[in-house]
Amino acid sequence: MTTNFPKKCWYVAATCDEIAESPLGRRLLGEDVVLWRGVSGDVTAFENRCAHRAFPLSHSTVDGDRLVCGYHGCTYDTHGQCVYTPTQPHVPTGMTVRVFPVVEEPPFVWIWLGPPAVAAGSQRPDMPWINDPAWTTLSSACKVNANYMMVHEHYLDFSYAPILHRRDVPPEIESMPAFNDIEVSETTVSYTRVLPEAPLAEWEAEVTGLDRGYTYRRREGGTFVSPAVHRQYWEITTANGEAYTTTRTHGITPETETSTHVFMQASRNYATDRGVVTAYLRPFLDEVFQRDISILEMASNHSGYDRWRGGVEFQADAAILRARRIVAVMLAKEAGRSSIRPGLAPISRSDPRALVNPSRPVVTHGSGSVDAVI
Amino acid sequence: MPEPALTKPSATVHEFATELVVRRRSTPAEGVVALDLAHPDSQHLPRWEPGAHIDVMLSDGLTRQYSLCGDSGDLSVWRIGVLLDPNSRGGSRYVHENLNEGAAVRVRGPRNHFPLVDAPRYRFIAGGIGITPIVPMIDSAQQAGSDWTLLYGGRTRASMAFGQDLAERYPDRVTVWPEDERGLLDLESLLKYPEDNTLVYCCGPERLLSAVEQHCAPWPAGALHIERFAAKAPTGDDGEALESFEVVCHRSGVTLEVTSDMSILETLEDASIPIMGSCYEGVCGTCEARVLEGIPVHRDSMLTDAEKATGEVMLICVSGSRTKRLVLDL
Repeated sequence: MTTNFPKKCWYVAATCDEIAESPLGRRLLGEDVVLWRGVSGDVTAFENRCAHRAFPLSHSTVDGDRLVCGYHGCTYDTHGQCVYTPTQPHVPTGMTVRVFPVVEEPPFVWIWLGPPAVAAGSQRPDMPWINDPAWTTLSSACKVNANYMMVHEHYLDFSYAPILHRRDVPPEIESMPAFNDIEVSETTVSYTRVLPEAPLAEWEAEVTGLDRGYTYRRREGGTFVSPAVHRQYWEITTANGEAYTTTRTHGITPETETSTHVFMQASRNYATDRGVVTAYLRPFLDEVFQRDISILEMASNHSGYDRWRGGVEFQADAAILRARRIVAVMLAKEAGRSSIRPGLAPISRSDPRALVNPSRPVVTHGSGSVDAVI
Repeated sequence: MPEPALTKPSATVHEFATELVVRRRSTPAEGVVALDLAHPDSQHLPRWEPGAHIDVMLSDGLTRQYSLCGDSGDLSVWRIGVLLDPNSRGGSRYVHENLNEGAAVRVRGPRNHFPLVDAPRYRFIAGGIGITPIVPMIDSAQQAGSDWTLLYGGRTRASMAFGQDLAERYPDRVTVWPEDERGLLDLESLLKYPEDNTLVYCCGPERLLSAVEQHCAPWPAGALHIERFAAKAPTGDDGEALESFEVVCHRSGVTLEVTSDMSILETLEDASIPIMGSCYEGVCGTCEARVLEGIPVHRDSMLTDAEKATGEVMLICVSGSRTKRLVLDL
């Protein structure tokens, strides 16, 4: 499989607190990167390779606003220019390491691994709830051994919840209802579904403190914000209209073609000052996260993304199909391929998939993203 | 037993739509207004890429498409440029007469049928108000460090929006070509010799697009990208179109009768077959469908002649059938 991640996009490289005194080495979009924080507080990202012996600069030390290689002591400034070599007074011309644009916007450090010249023209997604005092946010991160689109697609289709997360879905909800609404723009897709009234699941009762004797309305929604970000919310509404919303924001950053960093921020607009709720929610969400990961890794190990995406699609996949198309267009543009169609990607009529299964379930998305090439 | 979950046959797929207000109105050229549209609560708007356009819903049922011509990095404002067309069917007249600063207007999108593919070199060609999608493309090409030129034609210098500004910023790259001073655009010199690694992007009136298409015939397939707002005049095999025919949606397992008063797309929409349409006049390609059986009658302006000849795909918002049965991969 060729790489299927657009490079002209800001991805989460790390959470701010991960970059402290020691440089952090991390593979991002297949690039070996070192992230470090100088004394001025600014984060810098280099290719993780000393210009001298290709030693990993993640094994170096920070000295002021310079990075000192842990092998021969070659010292670099924040522009990636070597400014000092211990054994000779003159630094050889052109002794530089590649620098990647980074922007720190708490809680994330964002990185741009595409052509540096166009980084400034692209925006990081808005996620105001994370720093809004009306919300409380907890943070978690994990690596998943699966292609990053499998992570996106997993989160854009929550219909597995009653199977995979049975105990966490409200009792009496045996299956997730179909989408009520799918909203698209050139670069995003969002879905919303309304759940039938049901009593509280254990975790819902614990974190909201709502009365277990009643039933509640719920909405669940998700957004493919960019190839780097997914957002999901779960909203419980009381009879008098109060909304208890739990939002998971996922920074989804490809590590390689078959592994992905996931940076999760879980925000809530209720019990914001109650540490006991955070203490309950953290291990609960981590357990959910672990179940998600184990499913994705099983699918990845067994089949890989190509077979995963070659499967039969049904209604619950509508948002996924749209997201695939958004990514397909980004990839085609980056590759300089002119054959971009807003409609279906051209495939041959001899494609065996076309006629394999006449009883194929209804495809929700008629504009043919089923076959969009990623 | 627990209640079965609520089910609906299908979700409605729709585009982002919202009401915006005119934050700023200016007159970049004679007969042209530029409107900066923003959310009333200053909320950010969806991201867009150069070449994108939005639907502006002007009054009862009157929807017009305008390219976004502002800064794609600015999520607070969408800018459109609107030429007052003397033969206006109501769209541009309504904009010029009613959309003053502070006015509210409903919009939908953005969508992009004119994406800027990465390339080392571009030849941009604009005619009149067709400059609008080209403006953000130029910003993008310049930022990426690509080589580019713009040939910009218009009736008179005063009628050419953004012309002076572009010429001042990029004197070596921009050629402003008012017809009253210089005659018709010299496409011959620009396009005579196909260039490697070069894409041609053109937006403007139909006669310009047709001329550019002709000049680009010897260029490599895929080199020319054009934005066409109005549909081409229908050509070809319409005589063989059937008044009514049967459409089989292969994957949905649904068969429907299409009659002359409805398009295939409308028929499918009425039957709740989930599918997206957008322009409804065969220019955007959103409703492109794969044909598994039967022979379509193409009436769109989007598929290439080669694609039409293979009959493997069709735009179901306008095209019909010459066979009693048409099986679609839907």
